[in-house]
Amino acid sequence: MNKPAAILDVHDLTVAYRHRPVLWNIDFEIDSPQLLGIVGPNGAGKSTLLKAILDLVQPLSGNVSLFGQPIEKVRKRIGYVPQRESVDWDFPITVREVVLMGTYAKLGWFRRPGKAQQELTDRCLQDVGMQDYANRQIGRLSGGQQQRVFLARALAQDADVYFLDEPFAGVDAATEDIVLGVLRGLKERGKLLIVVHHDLLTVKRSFDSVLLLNGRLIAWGPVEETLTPENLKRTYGGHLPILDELGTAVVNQSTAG
Amino acid sequence: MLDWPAFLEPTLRLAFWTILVGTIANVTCAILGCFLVLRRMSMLGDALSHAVLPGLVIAFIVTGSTSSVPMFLGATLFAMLTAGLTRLLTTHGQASEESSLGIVFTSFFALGILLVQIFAEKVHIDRDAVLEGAIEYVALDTVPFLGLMWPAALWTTLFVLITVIGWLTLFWKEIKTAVFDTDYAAAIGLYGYTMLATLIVLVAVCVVASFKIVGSILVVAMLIVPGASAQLLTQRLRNMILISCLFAAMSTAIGYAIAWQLNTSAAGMMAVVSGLGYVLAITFSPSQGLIAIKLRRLRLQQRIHAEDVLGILYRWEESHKGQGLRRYPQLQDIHEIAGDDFRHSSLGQLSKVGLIDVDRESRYSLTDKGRAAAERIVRGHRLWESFLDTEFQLPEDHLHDAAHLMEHYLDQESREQIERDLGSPEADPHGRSIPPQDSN
Repeated sequence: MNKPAAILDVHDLTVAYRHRPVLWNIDFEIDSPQLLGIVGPNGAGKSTLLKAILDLVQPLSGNVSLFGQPIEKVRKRIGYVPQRESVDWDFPITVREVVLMGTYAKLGWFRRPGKAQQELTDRCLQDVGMQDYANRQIGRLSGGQQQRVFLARALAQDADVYFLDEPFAGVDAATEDIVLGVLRGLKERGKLLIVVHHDLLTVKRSFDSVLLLNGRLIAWGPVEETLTPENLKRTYGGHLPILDELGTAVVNQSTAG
Repeated sequence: MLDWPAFLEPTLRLAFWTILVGTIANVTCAILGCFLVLRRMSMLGDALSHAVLPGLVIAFIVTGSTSSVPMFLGATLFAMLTAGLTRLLTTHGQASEESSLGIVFTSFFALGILLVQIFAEKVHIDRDAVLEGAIEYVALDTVPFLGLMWPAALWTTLFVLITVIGWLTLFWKEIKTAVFDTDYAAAIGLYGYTMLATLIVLVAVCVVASFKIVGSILVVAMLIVPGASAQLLTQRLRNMILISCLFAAMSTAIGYAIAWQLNTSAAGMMAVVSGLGYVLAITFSPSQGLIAIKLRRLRLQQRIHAEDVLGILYRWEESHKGQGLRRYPQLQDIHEIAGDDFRHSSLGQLSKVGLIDVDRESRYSLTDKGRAAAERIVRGHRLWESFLDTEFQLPEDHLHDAAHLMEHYLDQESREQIERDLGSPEADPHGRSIPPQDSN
C-alpha cells in the first residue's frame, strides 16, 4: 500500500468488560488534524473506546496504530484528560504539581523538572486561567476549576494527539468557554483532538467531525453530514438486544475454552 | 549480647539497638504505607503478611534451615504471587479488587497452615512470634562485622529501607503520578501500572523483613497509622511522608519506653502508642481535626446570629419609616423577633466592630457601615426568594425559611449571578424591594 499512514487507525476493535461486551468492531481512520467528538448515550462505550485506543483496557480483538506505530511506541506524543471522577481529589498535591506532571513524560527517567518545565507549567496554568490557584490543594477547587487543571496538565505535555474524556462534564459557563478556546487553539496548531462529549449542541457549533457510538459505530464524518436525524435515531433509539446475547456467548466461549 | 556503644550501660545498649532497628523497620513501613493509604489499599499489608506463610514453610522444607535468605525469597515469591493473582482475578474474573485479595490471601494462609501441620514435626512456628515478633531479641541475635558485633536484623531492615529510599528518589515523579492517577500515567508513557507493581513488591519485601522483628500486628499498624495520621496534618505528599516517618520513629521510642516500664510487649505497645498518636492527629489537625471543625462551626454560628440581628434592624427600619424614634427597636423587640436564635453576645460583638449603635434607652440602630452590611444580607435573602419562586415554584410561605438560611452563604459573586439570571428584579415575591448593587 502506498497510502501514507493515517494519524490514527482503529482497526476492527472489539472490547469486553468483565462479561459484558461494550464495543463491537469499531473501525475508523483519521488522516488529518481535527476536533472530533465522540457522542452517544450513557453506556455506549465512549470512555471504553478511548481507553481501548490507549491500551488501558485489553481488547478482545482488533488493533490500533497511531502515526503508523503501535501505541506503546508513541505514548510520549499522547495527551490524555481522564474523567474527573477517576482520581481522588483529596490527594495531598497542589494545582501546580498536577500540571507539572504533564512535563514528566518528555523528561525521561531520573531527570527532575527544571526551569523550562516550571515556566511551561506557568504558561499552561495561565492558558486555562488558573494561575491564581497554583498553590492550592486540588480538593479546594470547584468542578470547573478541577477540569481546567486536568486540561492544563494535558497542555503541559505538548503532545500531538489529545484524548479528552468528558472535559465539559459538570463545568460552569466560564470553564466551557476556556476549554473550547484551548481545544480550538490546539487544532489550529495542527493537533488531533478526540473528545468524548454529551452535548450535541456544542459539537454542532464547534467541532469538525463527530463519531456516533452506541456499542457499535453508527456513523462518523464531518459534523453537518453525520448529525442527521436518521443517524441520531439509530444512536439514541436503536438498541439491538441480539448484540447482548451474542456478546455474552462470544465472551463465554472465548474465555471458557 | 552487644558490648557497644561503650558509653551506654548494658540495659541502655539493649534499648538503643532495639529502638534503632525498630525505627528502621517502622519508618520503612510508614513510607510505603503513605502510598497504600492514598491508594486506599490499606489492607494489602495485612493480606500480604498472611499470604507469605506458605513461602516461609516451603523455604524451610526445601532448605531445612531457618536461615533468612531462603525464607525471605520464599516469602517474597508468595507476596508477589498474591499481588499477581489478585490482579488476574480482578481483570478476568467477576470479583472486585477487594474480594479478589480476600480470596487469594485466605487461601494462601490456609495452605500455609496445612503445610505447617503436615510437616509439623520439622517446623516449629511460634504463634506468638508471628503476632508480636521478637523485637525484644533483636539485640541478642548478633553477627560480627568490622570487628564489632551487630544485630543481624539491622542489616536486613537497613537494606530494605535504603532500597525504598532509593526507589523513591529515583522514581519520585513516576511514583507520584502513578499513585495519583494510574491510567493517566500509563497512557502518557510513565508506566503507571508498572510503578504500582513495584510499590506492591516493595510492600511485600518490607512486610517480610519487618514481620520477623515486629510481628504482623505492628507491621499492619505501621503501614497504615503513620500515613493516615500524617494525611490529616498536611496537604503535600512530601510532607506527608516526612511526618509519617517522624511519627513512626516516635511511636517506636515511646512505645519501647512504656513497654519497658510496664514490662510488657514492646511491639504491642508501639502499635498502641501509634494508635494514640492517630487520636491526637484527628483531634488537633488544623484543617480536619475535631477541634478545628468544632471551632469553625462555632464561628459560623456566631456569624449567622450576628447577621440575623443586622437583618432584623434593617427590616425594622424599613417597616417603621417616618416613625421617629420608633424606627429603632429595643432589646425586647429584637429578642422577640429572633426568638430562640437570639444571643445577647451578638449585640456586643456588632457594636464593638462598629456596625450598630445603642442609645441610652437601649434603642439599637445601624451605623452606615452596618447598614451596608445589612443591605447585602437582605439583598441575598430577597434574591434567593425570587430565585426559588421562579425556578422551583414553591408556595409563597415556603420561601422565607429557605432564604433565611441561604442568605448567610451567598457571596457577592453568587448574588450578582442570581440577579443576572433573574433579569435584575426590583422586588422579591412578597413585593418588598431588593436592595440594589453590592455597596462596600
